[in-house]
Amino acid sequence: MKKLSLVLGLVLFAFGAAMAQRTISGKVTDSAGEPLIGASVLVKGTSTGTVTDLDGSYSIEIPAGTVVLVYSYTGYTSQEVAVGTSNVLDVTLAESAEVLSEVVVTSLGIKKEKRALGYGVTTVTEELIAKRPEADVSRILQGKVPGVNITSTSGVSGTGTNIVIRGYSSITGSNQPLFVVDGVPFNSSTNAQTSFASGGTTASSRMLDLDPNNIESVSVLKGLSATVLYGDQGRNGVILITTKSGSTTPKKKADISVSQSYFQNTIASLPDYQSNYGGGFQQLTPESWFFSNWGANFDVVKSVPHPVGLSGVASIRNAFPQFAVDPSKPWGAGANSSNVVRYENKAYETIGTSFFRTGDVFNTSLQINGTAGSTGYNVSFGYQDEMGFTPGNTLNKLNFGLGLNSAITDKLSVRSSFSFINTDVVTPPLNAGFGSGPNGGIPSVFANVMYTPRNVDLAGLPFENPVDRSSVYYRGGNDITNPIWLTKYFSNTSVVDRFFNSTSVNYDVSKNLSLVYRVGLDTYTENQEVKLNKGGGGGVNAIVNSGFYKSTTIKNTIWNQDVNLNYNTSLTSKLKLTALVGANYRTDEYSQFGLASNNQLTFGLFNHSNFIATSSRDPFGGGINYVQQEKRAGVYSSVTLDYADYLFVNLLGRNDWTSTVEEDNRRILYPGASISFIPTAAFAGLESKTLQYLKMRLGYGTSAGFPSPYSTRNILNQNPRGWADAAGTVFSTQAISNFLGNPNLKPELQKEFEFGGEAILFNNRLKLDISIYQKTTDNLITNAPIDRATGFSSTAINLGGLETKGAEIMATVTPFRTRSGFNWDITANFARYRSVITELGGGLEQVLISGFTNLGNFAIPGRPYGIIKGIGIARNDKGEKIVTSNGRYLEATDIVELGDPNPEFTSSLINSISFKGFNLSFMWEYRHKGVIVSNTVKGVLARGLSKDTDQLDRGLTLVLPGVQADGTKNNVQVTAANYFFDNYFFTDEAITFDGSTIRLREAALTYNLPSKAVSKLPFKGASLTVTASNIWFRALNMPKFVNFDTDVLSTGVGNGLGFDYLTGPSARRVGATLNLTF
Amino acid sequence: MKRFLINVLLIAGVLTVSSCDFKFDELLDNPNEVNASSTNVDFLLNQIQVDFSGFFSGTSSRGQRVTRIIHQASDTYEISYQPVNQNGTWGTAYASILNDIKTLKTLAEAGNFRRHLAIAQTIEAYVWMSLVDTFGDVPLTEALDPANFNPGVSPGADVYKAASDLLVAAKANFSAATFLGSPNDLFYGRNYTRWIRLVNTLQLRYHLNRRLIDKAGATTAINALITENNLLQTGDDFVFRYGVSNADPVSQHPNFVGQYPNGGGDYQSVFFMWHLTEAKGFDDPRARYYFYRQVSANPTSEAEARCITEFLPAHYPQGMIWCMPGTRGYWGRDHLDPQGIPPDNNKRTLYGIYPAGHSFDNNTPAGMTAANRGANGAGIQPIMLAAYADFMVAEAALELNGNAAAAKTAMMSGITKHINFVRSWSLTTAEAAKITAFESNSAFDTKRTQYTNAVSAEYDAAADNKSRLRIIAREYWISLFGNGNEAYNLYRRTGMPDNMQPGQIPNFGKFPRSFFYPADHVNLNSKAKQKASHDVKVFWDNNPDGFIK
Repeated sequence: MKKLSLVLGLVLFAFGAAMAQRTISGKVTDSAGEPLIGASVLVKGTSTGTVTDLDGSYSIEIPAGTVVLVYSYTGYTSQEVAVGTSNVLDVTLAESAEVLSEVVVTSLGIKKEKRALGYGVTTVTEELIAKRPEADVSRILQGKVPGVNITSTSGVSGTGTNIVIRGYSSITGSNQPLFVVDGVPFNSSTNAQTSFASGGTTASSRMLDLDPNNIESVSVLKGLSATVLYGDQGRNGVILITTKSGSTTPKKKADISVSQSYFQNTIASLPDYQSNYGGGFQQLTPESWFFSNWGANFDVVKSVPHPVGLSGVASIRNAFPQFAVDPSKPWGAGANSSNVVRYENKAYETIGTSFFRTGDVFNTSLQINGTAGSTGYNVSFGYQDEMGFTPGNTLNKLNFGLGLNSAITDKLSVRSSFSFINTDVVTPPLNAGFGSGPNGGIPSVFANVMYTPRNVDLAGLPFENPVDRSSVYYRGGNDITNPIWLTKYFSNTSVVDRFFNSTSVNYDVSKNLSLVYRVGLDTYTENQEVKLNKGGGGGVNAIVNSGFYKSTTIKNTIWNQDVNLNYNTSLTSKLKLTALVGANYRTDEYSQFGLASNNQLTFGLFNHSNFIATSSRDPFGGGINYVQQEKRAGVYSSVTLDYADYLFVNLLGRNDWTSTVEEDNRRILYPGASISFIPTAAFAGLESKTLQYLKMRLGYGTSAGFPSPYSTRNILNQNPRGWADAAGTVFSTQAISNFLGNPNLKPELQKEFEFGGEAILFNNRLKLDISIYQKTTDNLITNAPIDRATGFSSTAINLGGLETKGAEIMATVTPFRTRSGFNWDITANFARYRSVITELGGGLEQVLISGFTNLGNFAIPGRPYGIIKGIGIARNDKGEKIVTSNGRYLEATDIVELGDPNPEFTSSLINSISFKGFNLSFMWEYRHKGVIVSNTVKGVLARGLSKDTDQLDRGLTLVLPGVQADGTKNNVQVTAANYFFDNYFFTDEAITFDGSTIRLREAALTYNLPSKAVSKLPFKGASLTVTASNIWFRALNMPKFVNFDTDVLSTGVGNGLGFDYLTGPSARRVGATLNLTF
Repeated sequence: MKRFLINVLLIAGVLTVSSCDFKFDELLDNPNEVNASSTNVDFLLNQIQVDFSGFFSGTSSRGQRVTRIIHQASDTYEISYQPVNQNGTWGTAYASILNDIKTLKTLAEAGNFRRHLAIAQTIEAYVWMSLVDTFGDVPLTEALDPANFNPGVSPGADVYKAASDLLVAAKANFSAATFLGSPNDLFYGRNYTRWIRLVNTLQLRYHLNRRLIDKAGATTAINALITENNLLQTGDDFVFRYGVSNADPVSQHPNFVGQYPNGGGDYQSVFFMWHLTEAKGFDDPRARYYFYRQVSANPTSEAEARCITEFLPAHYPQGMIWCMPGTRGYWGRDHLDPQGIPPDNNKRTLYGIYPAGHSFDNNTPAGMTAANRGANGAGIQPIMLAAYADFMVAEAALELNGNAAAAKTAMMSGITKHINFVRSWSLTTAEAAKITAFESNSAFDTKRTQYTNAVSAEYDAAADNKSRLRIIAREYWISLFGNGNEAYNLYRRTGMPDNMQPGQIPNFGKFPRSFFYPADHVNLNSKAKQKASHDVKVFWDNNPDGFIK
């Protein structure tokens, strides 16, 4: 805080000297005699002032006639001191409970004193957001807001991020929060074109378009009583972002701030590979090359025929005559293998260097702000140039922002912020994999790379057929696409051009009454392309192998308008009234069009005219072309009564009309109320050195949920290309849609009670903010599967109930604060939620939330939301695992519950240590429990790669713990290959792990050049920050050497949780930022 | 205060809404799709036929696996056929085929589209019978009602009867003098004479399945059908034909798609391949059409096939085939082998030209690649063949009429028809030149004669009707490559072919006398009740528990 004050002080006042007549100097200290660095000293009634230096000293030239100087410092009570005859004024400031005057941004951008709020709001300030290596603001917020669970879908640059606030409130609807930027909605969709199981995992979430360096603050409204005024869109919580462009802070003088960052981006979760054994099975290294790494010890088999020379595919073999001993004679597998050159059988370099790379990340940020006449302006520019740690992965982002704030007359003012954003993401394709290739043959860069056999020289082997440029790899059937080839010739791209504007007009009708009209336009086009050159080989499906190109243009537009009438008055000397009445109208329009082509003519060119077949349908995802429109209108009101600044009562309500249900059900009214009571202000004498501040709050809120459009009416599925007979004649088809439209569908109502308390204790050394809540949704709008015997497979229906209970604690402790300026703040965050399905109704026993029917997240009455069911191990009556006579675990005959993927709690510890101009901050995170099904662990262990599989002599036989069918202890001996492969490969239970993880999420060391040093240089301020993210982690109960990172979500943004399908290791970033202010 | 608030809100709301026309109603219809008012009976029937091929493909695959025609993975039957695995068949039947047929019926009856209706009714009858054959009692009277999310089941016999009634109705509609429209008939190209023969053959199938519980009724009905002599005849084979399009739409045979372009896909069954290659002492003339070898020798590394170094499992009967049949690269897997997959996708035996539309095995084994694609997936689903009618007649002659000679005549006719069909159909594919170059018609005829002579002699030498039934059933079963529905029914009806290859572990589960209800039915329908075990039999199966394994 001192640092910030110093900077702000410099900005505000350094050059603010006016006509001087006399100089006053002195020292500002706290009650303990500590110097207060950066405290402001202001001539009352003017903008003339200065700030104190590192000794707390100041010197100010005051104009004639100055009567009073105002001394202020964040966290301390401001003091006005009359100027006497003395030219020396030493001032001691008393510590205040800063929260007393803390102002936070609440719904509709209304700023309120935090003390008046009857619900919890967490604010994250600029220091915790800016200058971070991540381009995605939501990933920067990880761990910083209790109650907000943020999960990366993958460590690949540009991939989406899943955010869930206070648990879940819908089974099949969205649980993602609303992003509001500068007062208007900001689309944060993840426009995945196909499911996670057919290549949709790479999709970016559109909050990626925000520039973290242009964010002034983030307020997170978690409970419904805080978000009522946002209508149904706010039901999953609201992330309110104030950009610098939209900021209201006036800057007197033009102020230019430039920062440049450089980070290195590396893979954080690379397994520790063993180096004694190579590809094969059963300790054998036959001629055929295996996926698995259970071959002979390198000491035993020192060479094998060269894999390319041995290829079962003649066109590959023949393209590389150098791998034949005598190319004039046949060479290849089987009888001709002796004519293949030998290949040294040894441990080659690991994929850590042979495949992955160190990605450079550059970020440039420029901010100019100032005032011209009665207009304040802010210009911001940001450019992120990021290379992923995976070859072929880049992210480029340009942000340009302009904010204007102008007082047209005394009563009329206009504020407008504009942003133009260009985001350009390129990734190799990502798709779900299960440890033996990508699902459905739709390519995925990580599908096989994590368990590359140790004797595969990935960097040294040829990867491309010189004849036709197709992929070449070690397998005889060429049924794995070479990962290097893949990153070179397969890509998914997304280019976003986005325009965003928030404009508000404020008219002060009278002293007590003001009218605000705000309009927001958020519109973007996103061009997504899937570019898959022909020649991927047998590792991809036939369509992909022929060359595949899909281009999709998405356009999303939100128009949002609000009219608010604000009124405030004092009813009595103690009772104040603030009221707001408003109306909102919002339209959402989404459209996309595109084409999918296959059968590429010329390698390398991606234009639909270079493909033989082009269609308006995606063979992996269905329709590409559609539009969707939605409108909502709402009126709302909020009334706050403030009694003597210690009791605040807020009543609010909103009534909505939606276009997504039939007319009879279109309207829904939902109220809210909250109370804030401050005993320390109400009862004289309660405030003491031990207890400076105490607040209790109680809130009740409701919100509506609307179904997605077009859920109420039946449709007919028409397919112009339904069938092609042997002669190639194409038939068109029609079918009754399997989705049953429900004309009686109604909006759902969610309710939440929230109780909380805030306290400041022990001379400002401890601040506590606690919330507990209970949220229920009944008659959930569920996209419910129904027995297909009805003739339909699903319908949208009001069905079932969901209840979430949870708690959040945020505690800030200042254990050390010394005379010399050493300050250590610790913020501890703790959150837990329990979302439980209370009922499903309608005869439903379970509903699949996400995943596959035999492995996924399920909603089951009485069970936690998203419980994972999958293939289990059969157990006898005593619960012992049954082993078959083959020595493998017997599979259970129906899918079983494997565990609850929701963490029992999440917590973080944010440390900030400052001394002189240095500030060191570091953040630990701990996630307790919550299971994760990991196919990375499966692949790496089952295929014998990590050191976990090399803890014993592989020549020994092993016995699985368990019993035989007759109940006797299992004694069937199996080989190491069978032990690991059979054990980890066949059941989901074997790869389900407790996800408890401890993590050093980020650390930063900042050095601010002292003001004395700065003053000799041509700029106002300078700082250097060294930052690292995801520095260290350990999943406590997972196989040690796999180094698995639990911060992954292969099912993508949505309601899935706890699944890793080999869609991307996590990233670690280290670097530095230089910041200069002119 | 709250009341005041609500009043304020409502007044403001009414003002807002009445002053603006938001045109919400325009946003209720999905602008991307057509609705029921645009239904076209031709397009609907096209979809029904395509979906029917998918339905057959699913049920047939299961039937072939449990009867060892195709390899079955996993340790036990229960693991292989969990409730969740049956969702596809259930959904395709009810939500796709039957619901579309329900709409089609209304339109067809109103518009006098008799032939459309007849084709739909025939397909519908087959689907209902297959649902019973697969699951037993299934929803019928309460099904297909969007107002009832919890339809209860009807007895299997009732559903079967309903199917039979549909066949009767279909027959009438195929012969109706006046009708409108001209359906895209993917099966018979609007040859309704053949459709009527199919309907008769399906009636034969209906009564044959019912023979265990209603011997007298079945005998009368089947004898009447034989007398009518209007069953499927050579050239009338009811097959679904696949195309060569690999995208938009995918119209290739699913078995071809499964192994293209780099091999892999299903393992062939060691037990079935043994019957086609080694069991009789000479190769079945169909073996080169059924199976495509990628290598000419058997595996040699334990890493590639564990069975080559393992002993015959202790619970295997004496003389049971184990591991690979012969030494010529018929590389498959034994029944219920749960192991992982070694790099043998370019080595294991693949589906051949019949019926999957891949390659004829002309004795030059080579790994499948994008270039080596044979008929490129333009295969067939042999849903009901003229040969099958003969085999059914043979079984009826022996079991209902006790006429071993008539049974033999029918069986021999069935064998000949089937062997001929396999070749004659294969010669219509892109593999024709390769086939004729390898074996001329006369060379093939010689092989067929060798085959029929051997079976004929074996039948004549059989001591009793059980032995005769064993031969009839075995020969029927051999001809059922590609049709698991008949094989599954045959096995449950007769227990033949007996002495099938066991699973790899001694307790390889209970043979599914009917399959578990789908997870989607049990989990979503409050009236649904899952079966206790695979022992639950369909209504026409009165054979004892443990009758077959």
